[in-house]
Amino acid sequence: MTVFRSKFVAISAIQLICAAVAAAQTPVNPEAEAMALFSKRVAAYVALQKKVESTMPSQKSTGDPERIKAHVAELAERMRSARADAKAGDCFAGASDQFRRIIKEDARERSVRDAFAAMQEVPTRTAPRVNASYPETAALATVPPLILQRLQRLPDGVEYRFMGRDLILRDTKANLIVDVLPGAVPTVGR
Amino acid sequence: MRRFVASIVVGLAAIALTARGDAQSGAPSGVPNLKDSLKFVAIGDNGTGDRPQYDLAEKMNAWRRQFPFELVIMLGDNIYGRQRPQDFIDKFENPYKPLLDAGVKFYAALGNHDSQENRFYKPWNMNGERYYTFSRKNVKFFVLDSDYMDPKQLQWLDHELKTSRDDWKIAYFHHPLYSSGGRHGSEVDLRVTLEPLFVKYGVNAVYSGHDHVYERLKPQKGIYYFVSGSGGQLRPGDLRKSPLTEVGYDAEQTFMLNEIAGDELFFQVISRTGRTVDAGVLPRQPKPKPAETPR
Repeated sequence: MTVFRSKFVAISAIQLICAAVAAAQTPVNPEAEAMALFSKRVAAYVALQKKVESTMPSQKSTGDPERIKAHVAELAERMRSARADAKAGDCFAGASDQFRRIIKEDARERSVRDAFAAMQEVPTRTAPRVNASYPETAALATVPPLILQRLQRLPDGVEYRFMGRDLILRDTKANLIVDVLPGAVPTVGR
Repeated sequence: MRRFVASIVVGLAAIALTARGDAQSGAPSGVPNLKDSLKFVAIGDNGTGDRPQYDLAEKMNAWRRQFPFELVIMLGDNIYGRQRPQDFIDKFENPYKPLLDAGVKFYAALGNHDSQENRFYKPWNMNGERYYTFSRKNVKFFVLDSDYMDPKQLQWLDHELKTSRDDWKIAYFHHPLYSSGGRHGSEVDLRVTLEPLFVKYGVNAVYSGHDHVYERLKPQKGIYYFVSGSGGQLRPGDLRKSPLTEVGYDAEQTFMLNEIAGDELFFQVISRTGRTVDAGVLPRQPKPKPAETPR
């Protein structure tokens, strides 16, 4: 019985070692890994957003715009405090090149006119800054649906937008800029 | 006696014409104002807070006395510029106060100039949603957020259209799939994304704004399209009439009266000075045949 048990332990140990070696040899797709990391970071942001929001009265339909705005402002303030050390790249880092490539490929498939039209109302006056509010009077320019189909899907609570040539992650509940990917949009015509 | 009768008939006709908002001479007849029909108004790009928006709102209110519409669909850019509480008063509550006081319901779609959190503004009946549906009589409205047509919204729309059994399916949102407006024109990306669903599930009519003109498009793949983006804003002379255009108007702000009675959609477009600039009736299209189930 003791012999049998030690053989079993030995075989199990060998199996574990083999599995570890195999795992180490399995080719990892670095791009998929980078996107998975991006999604993980975004999920962490949304989890924080939910946690912070749960400490406040929930946003409800009201005829008083003051209350709606106050909720957004309060949530923004609390998110800023919770992420006081946030910086550009907190989510995009590692996946930046892929985002740029996806957007560039999309632009290549558009005519110059179409590419120009897609960016026509994108705000250009304010440079996006992490933890700043998306400018109130700037148009919330459309993100072309075909680009959205190519980009990594996002959970509720955050969205992609363009500001100038930068791609931003925007908190849709707090109207905050969560992260910035500079120079994501290629120059039209190139 | 004949002269007397004739003069009475002409007099009554004149009164009727006046009551219908100084309809343009020779214009085709517009909304018939039938009992039990669904009557609604469409406005887009209205929230400027400027004089033309107020003028148009007064015309809407005057029309309501003869044509008691129960709801207004807002095609986006409901408030321009700053979105402070006072802006809601100046750019929405004050101009439409008589309508709001009369119980008319407004159902808004978001435009690129609207803050997303405005979906919580109760008088717009969005229930906190960027996209939603509502029904009246035999009509279902699909209100979309064309600013951000992500895969999640598309999946939702697919489901909503698939499960709708209403006679009429009307979609509205800010950016037009077809437009001859010089400033923006057709949103091709959006068309590629949405049109297959509209065709597949038999959407009957689509209303949009964004280009600050009025345009009725020739039916595209059997669907009726309207651009009604001059409910406050206006780009005079911006309409580049194209092979897509059935009728267009860009000289004044406009709003659309709509009436659905049975299998017919009547419409009449009223300008800031009260002219009827387009009118007509469109039959309900046959429902698409369900796709064959593979055996």
